[in-house]
Amino acid sequence: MSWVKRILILVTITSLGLIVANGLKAESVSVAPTYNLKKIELVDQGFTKLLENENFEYSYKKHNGVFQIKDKRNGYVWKTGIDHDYDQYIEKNLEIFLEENPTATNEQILEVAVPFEDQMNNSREGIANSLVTFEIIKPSNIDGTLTQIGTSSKSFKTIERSGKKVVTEDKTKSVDTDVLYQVNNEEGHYLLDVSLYSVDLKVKIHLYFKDEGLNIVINDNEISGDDSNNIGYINVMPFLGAYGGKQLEYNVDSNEWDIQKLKTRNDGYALVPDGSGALIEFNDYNAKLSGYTGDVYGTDLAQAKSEESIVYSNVPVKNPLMPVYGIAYLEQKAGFVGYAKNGDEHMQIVSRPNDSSDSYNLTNYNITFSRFVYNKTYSQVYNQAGNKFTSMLEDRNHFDLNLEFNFLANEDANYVGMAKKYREYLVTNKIISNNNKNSNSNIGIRLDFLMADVKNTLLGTENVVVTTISDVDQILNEVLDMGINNISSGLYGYQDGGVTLGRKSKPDFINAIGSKNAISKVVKSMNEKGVDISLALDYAQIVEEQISLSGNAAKHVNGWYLKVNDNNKTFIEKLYYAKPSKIKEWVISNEKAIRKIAFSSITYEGFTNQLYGDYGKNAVSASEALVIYNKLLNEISNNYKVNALTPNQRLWNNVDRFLQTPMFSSQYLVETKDVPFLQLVLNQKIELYSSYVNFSFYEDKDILKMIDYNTYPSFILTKEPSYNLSSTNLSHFYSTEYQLYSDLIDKVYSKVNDALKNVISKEWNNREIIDELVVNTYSDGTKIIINYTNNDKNYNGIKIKALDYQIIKGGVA
Amino acid sequence: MKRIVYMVILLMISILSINVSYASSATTYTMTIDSKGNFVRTQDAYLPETVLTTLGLNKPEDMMFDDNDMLWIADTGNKRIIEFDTFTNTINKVIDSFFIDRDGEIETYNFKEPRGVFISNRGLYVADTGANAVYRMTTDGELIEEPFVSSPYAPNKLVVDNRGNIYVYGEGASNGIVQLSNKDEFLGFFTTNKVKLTLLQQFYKRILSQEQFDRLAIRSPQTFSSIFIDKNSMIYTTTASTTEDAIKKHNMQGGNIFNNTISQPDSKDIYVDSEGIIYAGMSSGAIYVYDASGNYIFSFGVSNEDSGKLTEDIAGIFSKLSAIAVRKDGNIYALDSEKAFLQSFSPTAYSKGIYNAIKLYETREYEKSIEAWDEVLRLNQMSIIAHNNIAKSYLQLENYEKAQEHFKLAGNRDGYSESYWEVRNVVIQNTLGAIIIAGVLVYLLSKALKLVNNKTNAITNFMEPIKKPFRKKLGVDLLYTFRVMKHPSDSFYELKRKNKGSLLAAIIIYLLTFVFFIYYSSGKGFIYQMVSAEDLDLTALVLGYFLLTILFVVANYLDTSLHDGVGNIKQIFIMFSYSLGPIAIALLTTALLSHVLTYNETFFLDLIMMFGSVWTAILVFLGIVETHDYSGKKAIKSILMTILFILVIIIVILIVITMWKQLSTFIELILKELIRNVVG
Repeated sequence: MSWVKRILILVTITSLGLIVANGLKAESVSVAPTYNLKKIELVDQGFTKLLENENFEYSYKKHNGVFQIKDKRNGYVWKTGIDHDYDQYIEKNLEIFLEENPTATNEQILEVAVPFEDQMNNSREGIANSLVTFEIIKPSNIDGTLTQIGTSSKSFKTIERSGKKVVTEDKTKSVDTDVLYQVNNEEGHYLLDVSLYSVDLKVKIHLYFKDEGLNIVINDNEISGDDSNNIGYINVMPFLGAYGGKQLEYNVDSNEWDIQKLKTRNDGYALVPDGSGALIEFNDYNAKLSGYTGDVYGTDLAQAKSEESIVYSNVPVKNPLMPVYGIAYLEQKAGFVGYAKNGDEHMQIVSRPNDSSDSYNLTNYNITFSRFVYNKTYSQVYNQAGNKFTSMLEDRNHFDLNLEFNFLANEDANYVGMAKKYREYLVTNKIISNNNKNSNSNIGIRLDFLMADVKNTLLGTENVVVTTISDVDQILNEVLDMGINNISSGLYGYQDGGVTLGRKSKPDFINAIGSKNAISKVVKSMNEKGVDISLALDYAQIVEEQISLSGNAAKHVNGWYLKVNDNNKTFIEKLYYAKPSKIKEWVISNEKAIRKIAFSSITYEGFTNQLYGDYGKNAVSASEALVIYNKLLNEISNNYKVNALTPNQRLWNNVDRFLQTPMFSSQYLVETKDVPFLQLVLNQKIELYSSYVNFSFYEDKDILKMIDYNTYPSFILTKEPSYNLSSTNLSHFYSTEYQLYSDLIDKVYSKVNDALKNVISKEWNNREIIDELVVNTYSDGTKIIINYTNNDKNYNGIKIKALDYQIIKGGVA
Repeated sequence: MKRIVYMVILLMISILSINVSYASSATTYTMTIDSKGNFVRTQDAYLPETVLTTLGLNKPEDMMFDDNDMLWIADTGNKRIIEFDTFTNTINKVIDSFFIDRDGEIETYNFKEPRGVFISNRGLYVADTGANAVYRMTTDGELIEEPFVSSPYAPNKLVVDNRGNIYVYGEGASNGIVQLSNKDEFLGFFTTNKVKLTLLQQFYKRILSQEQFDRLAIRSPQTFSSIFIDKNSMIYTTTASTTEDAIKKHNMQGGNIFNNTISQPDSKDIYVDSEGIIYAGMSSGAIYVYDASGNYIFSFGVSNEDSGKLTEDIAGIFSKLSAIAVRKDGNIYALDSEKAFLQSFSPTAYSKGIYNAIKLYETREYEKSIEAWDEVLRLNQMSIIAHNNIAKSYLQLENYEKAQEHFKLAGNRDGYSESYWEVRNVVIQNTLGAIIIAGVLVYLLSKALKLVNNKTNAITNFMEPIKKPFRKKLGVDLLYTFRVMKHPSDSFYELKRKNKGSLLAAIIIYLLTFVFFIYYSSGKGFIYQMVSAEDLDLTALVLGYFLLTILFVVANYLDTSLHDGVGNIKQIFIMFSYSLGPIAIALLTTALLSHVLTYNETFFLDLIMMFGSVWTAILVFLGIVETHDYSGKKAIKSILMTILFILVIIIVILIVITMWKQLSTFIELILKELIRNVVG
């Protein structure tokens, strides 16, 4: 046989072999555990008491699958659903009652004809009662809306039983709620064995009733059924703590339920971790608003709708950095904080006002709940012209959903109480470290430097240097002379190629910016003066002009590279994301390369504030990426302090300085107030630095905000005027020249330090608004009172001028 | 017994759970224009302050502040007019019906579709589109005069000057803005938008008869989207669906004072504050701010390209902005007709600084104006307005060097030219004396050297080593260019026959011209270098030069077979290169001179370039005649054919490139599919 023939046969056999092997890929199945289950006998009408402990009484109602949690500390009763008995059931029951008792009095009739829920059809009532609801994607109609069904979805019919008419569940159109078991005889550990109809899905929901509240767990291997891969979302207790509602009362004259009545309104709010934190005060809205949706840690870019994200003319919304939310009712002094102990990266926090504009919540309630993403649809582009069809993930996300709810009472039932409770959980579970990192008596200040970036020239690119290392030395010395000595600094664009084209694997120092020796010298001299200089690099954002995409760029599930299209940028508009494995490689090699220079900290950006997996070769999921990054920073933090840009909760254990702390929320219309929830949670655990004061954060009220939020100031500086950067990708840093900022640095630092140095190692215990004044209380009783208004005000006889603050020293009872 | 048919202060019921947040961080970027005319981000000019979502509005279309800073809103969908107090966030008054007292007989009216509202001390005017009427009433709802009913067009928005003349525009009246006297007499059309014919339509107009042309597509002028009158009774209008002169300020005759205002094609409402600063709201939610002369300052909000892509309801982001109004303290209020909310924005120190600095310049306090603009620069070192205005102030103060510096930063070439002229003037005046003396000295020196040379030949010996390289073959060949320029026909003959000149020299001259060309394209002085070097497309320049010149040579050679030319390709190339002499010199001279000339001397540079180009063209023509032994007529034909050949070759190359691209994409796709399916 000729060579050609031989080769052809070899290729054919190999390809066939591979194709066959592919098809026979064994599905990884984990075996579900077996339990010793004891069925709980439930009463037919009303609630069955399950457990009573120190703070709570837990009960379950078989008829509609609603759990009731009575808080003994304040008498408030929480229900996992609206606890409605279904219009269908009530109506059919009344029919039977009227037939059997034609002479019933009005009072007797009204006892049976309890109010209907207005603005709710049968399926919505099912959802509103449910402990857990499921949104299923229909592969046959993949672009359509998801099918919603809950653990309490039911339909009723009238049947004859032993001669009598009785209303029962239509088993084929109802989810059985008589499925509560106790597990392994463990106290407080229950199981709901749910079987849905109309979709083939069986789920085991674990409930743990504890001294602090309730824990819900859905294990990945306990979700079964043919439709188990089609689950889009699982929502947990969507109507827990819901506000609002309209009822229809029975009219004995017209024999109809037509008397509209609003249910009791109690003032309260939902707390969402939007930016620094925001309160959504409950309201009856006339207009249709979209509400709030937050993707914890950001939406996984590799599973997003499209591989391309376009930068629009609006400021991007902030992503929640922690998987937590809460609801509080002020007069009743009752509240809860809910957080994910597992599955956090797949969590969304959803809040919808009544009649929401996206038609998700067409009821009259304001609801806030958490939701977990299992499978998503995305656009599969299949040719160069950009034509696409919609597809869904071949294999949904696998994780164990674990949500904990702590109920709060009395003084703790507000967002401050939620923050403190959540902080307690983070410390106990070592998610943040407990050592008080601050040893200085003055607050810190962050001074970042932009050293260089590149611009286009006739024949290629050219470095535009705006700050050299000796400029850095000179400026820092000047700042030290001002009396500011707790300085930390990050150098951006320290190498050839500047910020945009700088090498990621190891620094490429050049003399024009600073040679390795020069930088070494400055770092050493600054270390002696107590100033911490670090190299700052964005490890995730890469560009084609600097590094080849193949083997380095992360891919979307549809096979295309993850891309950002930003035509606000002056020089390079197309940006890509680096593979998580490459990021790990570069962080390690960078650290190795700079080991000889005596840096005491390193500044990280890119992978700290973005979430994405990689579906390319050697795929890494977003969850795995988070684990990789955490391990990475664990190693680094053994020898260096870690400065991270807006890091998410998974990295907090190793972060020493939290840069660009969000000081506002994203300003959703339903959000009524910004609160420093993040700052309260991290108080005394991580040093927080604000967003750059240079950019619209320099007015008096902004300085007061830093004092209010216990966050330290940060600036970005250059030696040369910033218009030198107008042809580079950094053209949006429109004002950075140190000469213009030296006075402002002094002013801002002195003002913030004068206030905060008094409370620098004291725990922040409370924040209240009294007569338009913000009153922050610290562990030893010290109070800082802040007046954001334009008028002078009084607090307990002390005058606080307009746009100013006062300190009341503590140590006094 | 006046039936009071509106709700008075009963509506102090604060309907609203007001979102009282402190002026919060911005939700959209503020943009301005950089020195190259591109939109760039700048320091936030306005921050979203309060959002009122629960006012109970329904498709509100218009609003206006009165002299007491009370906001009057035309709540169109609810058929009423509201007086709203933006300081306490309460509704003072609601007018949904009104009446007229005709000697005791009272007739009440209701609004049908109130879309325009105007308030002054002459009363409250409402344009009711549904009723085709304009009403003038007191703020208590009593009509001051009979309703003015005006079919067939439906009045949309209106303003009233301080003599009571009403300016109204309506749907269907594309003839412009109707002017009514204070006695409701029709005074005519105040102004109208001109119809702009496209190029194709202009062509049709020439060749078709009027009738035929009229039967073509409708060419109605665009209608106005809003109208505003300032305290001097000057009228401002906005026009939607266009960016050309969308924002206008009208003189008494209705003409447009402004020139080419920058805007988006969806301008919806306009408002002018007491300083003359103009605010234009776009339907997408963007607000553009201009100074009193219509110069763009900055804008913020969602641009019309991005509108509709953002589905979340966030403060400062609009679904459909319908009206804006500016309070005396500078806060901007904006209505969203779809989501029915009222959003307010408060100015930051940055924008307040800019307005203050503009005012100082307009009141001729130039030094204070420079100080104020320096403050603005501190907040945004790239601010073009600041640099421009500082430069203009320095011009007024006759500090030309500073003016020049700032004009350069602002990218203002006209201003730079002007100030540079002054600076150069001073330099010339200062050095003229010295130059004249130097000139005389040089002349005397040269005479003296000649005398010395005649006696001792010292200079000739001294110059020998310098002149030596020029005697070598290459040097001679290069210098031959000058002979070509002076005696073209003879030189070309000699080139062809007598081994004068060489291929090497020709190549050098060719490349040298290329270098000069690049220098000319990228290295001219600031005034003349319209595109900065970093934005130039080097490949286009290189490709253009080499491709066109080589193609010319090749095509001309191909043409010799048609016209029986005798030159071969080497001779054509040599001829061509040597003809490049004049244009090479012109390119170099122009580029060098552009560094020291101003716009006043543009003609000079144009002259040099023209001279060089024409001379080269003549040389090429003569060269073709000589090299191929053509007659004059044949040479012309040859050149025409050459050009045709060039076009054909270019088209062929393009086709081949496109086809190859398709083929390679196809092969790539197949390979990808194969790999994907095999590897899985």
